[in-house]
Amino acid sequence: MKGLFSRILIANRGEIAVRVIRACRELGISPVAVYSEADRQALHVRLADEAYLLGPALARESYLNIGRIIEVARRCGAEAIHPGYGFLSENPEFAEACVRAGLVFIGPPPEALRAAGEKTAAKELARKVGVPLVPGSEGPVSDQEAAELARKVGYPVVVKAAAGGGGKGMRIVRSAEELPSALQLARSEALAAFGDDSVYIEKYIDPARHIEIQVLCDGYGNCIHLGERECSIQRRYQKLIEESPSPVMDPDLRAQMGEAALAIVRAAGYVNAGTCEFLVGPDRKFYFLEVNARIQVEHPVTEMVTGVDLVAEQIKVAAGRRLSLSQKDVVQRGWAIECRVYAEDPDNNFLPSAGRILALREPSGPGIRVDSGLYPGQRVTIDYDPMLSKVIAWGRDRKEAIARMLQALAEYDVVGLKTTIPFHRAVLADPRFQAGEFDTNYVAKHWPGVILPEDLLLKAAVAAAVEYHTRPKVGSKPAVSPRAAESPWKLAGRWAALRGG
Amino acid sequence: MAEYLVRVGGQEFKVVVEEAPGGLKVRVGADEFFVEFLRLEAEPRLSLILKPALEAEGGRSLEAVWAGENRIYLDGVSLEVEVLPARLAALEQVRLGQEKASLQPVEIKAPMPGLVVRVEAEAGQAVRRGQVLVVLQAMKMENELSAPRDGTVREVRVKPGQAVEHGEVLAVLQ
Repeated sequence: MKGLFSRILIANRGEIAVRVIRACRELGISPVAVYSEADRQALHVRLADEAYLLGPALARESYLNIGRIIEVARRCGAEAIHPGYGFLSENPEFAEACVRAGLVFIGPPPEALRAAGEKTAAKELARKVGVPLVPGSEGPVSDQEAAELARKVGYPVVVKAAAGGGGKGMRIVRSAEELPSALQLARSEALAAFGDDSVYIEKYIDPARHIEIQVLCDGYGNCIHLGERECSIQRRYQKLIEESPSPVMDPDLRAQMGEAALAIVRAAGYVNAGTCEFLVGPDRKFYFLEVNARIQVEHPVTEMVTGVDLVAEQIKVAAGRRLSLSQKDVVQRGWAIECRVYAEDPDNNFLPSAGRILALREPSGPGIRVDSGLYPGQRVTIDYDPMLSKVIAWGRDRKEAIARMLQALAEYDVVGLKTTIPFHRAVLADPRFQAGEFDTNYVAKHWPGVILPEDLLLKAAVAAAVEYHTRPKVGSKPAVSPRAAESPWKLAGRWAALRGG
Repeated sequence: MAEYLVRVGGQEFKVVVEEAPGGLKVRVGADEFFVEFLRLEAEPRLSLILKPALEAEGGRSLEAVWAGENRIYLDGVSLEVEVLPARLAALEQVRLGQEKASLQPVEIKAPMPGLVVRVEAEAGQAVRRGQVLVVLQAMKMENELSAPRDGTVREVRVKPGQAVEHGEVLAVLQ
């Protein structure tokens, strides 16, 4: 059996960097962190064996700085780089730069990244191997071509960034009148996010469920799938809640979709972990969307039901090992749900929220897993993606997973900025969600904003009045006034001092 | 005995707090509790036990975090809160009465720091509730900021390409 790496550089930040550190430790590999000036305090920096500054907060000069990352990796003696998700994870130039520098890129080879990671190329592959696609353009379109095609396939249509992912540069268009402004918006978002304003267009399946298949391939031609993840609860095409299995799945459809996913990745010469995303229509017909050629945010739900450590498999496969299991070894057991906690205001159109973590309590308990990079005192800025952490709940069935998740969310305190936790609590408690009846329009259709429990305001009034009444008096100023610029440690110290005095 | 006016979540509560053996007696409207109150040491967290009677062994447990001068966090929700001793509240009422003016102009503020991508309204323009006024880019997403009510745009204070801070006024609606 081939030996694993002795040192891996993790070219990412936040919860996924922490996740990869954990996998490294388990495999006896020394993890190396890199960080930007904004992340000096971050958890991944403190948990790693070594940490190196990349540059300023701006991602382009730090987490996207290929030259600097390669330089650090060589200097610290890393043999491989794990890119996490986002940032450079699906960038073929980065994968090539790793290879040139004699480093192993923990992900697909550059050719496979190009063949599978780029949406139009991936669709070409799917077409070749006979996997159904949503009717639409076969590549980037001009505004005029878009208009003609939209007329042909019929409205509603959806405009998407050719180079994109994560729903950035994506717009639904319901009539010909809306098309010009939607194209303009999509192009400018695509340009800002990916440096490329090309877009393509396709028919909008409505109602649709977003279901994806996790695959794992080694360098010896072995490919397996690990079942599906249901990711239909989204806002602005960003996933908020994922689960495995999907409430609409049955063994037959799973086998069909699994085979379709494997056909595509095999045709791409794919190695390592990847995901094939599909839309499933009301008639249970499925359409291939794209390949995510990386570890995904929602990978833990698959890990919880299959017992397979996907990040460890990624590392082993990159080190030249064979997959540790075959298709017949893949068994889905129980049910897992993930809630992504974003620094966003669910009451205000999910607009990003910035602030400082004044108090933090992360949940635990039977079946609960929290993948988080959060720490008390953390300054959450708008420099990076607003996702803070993920709560994953496993249960023997969906009902138990939901019950555990509800308790975990009730325990989870992230104080100091707005988060999506109240959103998650409301959705998990919604009878429609509990019945498994939802589609990708769920948030737009059913999210009414945070509904405060009936007596919450009364309880708040009592707590606030009692706090005010018992507040130790220091001069005429309120004794406890945590100003934004103050360190929460200083604040906590003062609380302790006041309480003692 | 002290009387407070507490404004929270758009509602006002009159809360009467009285010293009682082993805690506080609190009256809000028809509800009355005996409150055992604790400030935690490690963080600005409060724990309250609301007992139905002075001699009761226990009661509802309630937890809150003081999340800033005028902010309280409980049950996962962060709320703007203002506590005024009743005497001050009465004075404020008088002042407010004097200042009561016609319909106030509404300021459209940046909900987070970002970059103005487009301005879709101009001064003097009549707009409907929900109509997009400014498109702001932050965290790689374009966010449409729309009019909170029908009105006329009095002024637009930003231009495309301009970086804005959290809370900065982008436009004023009349």
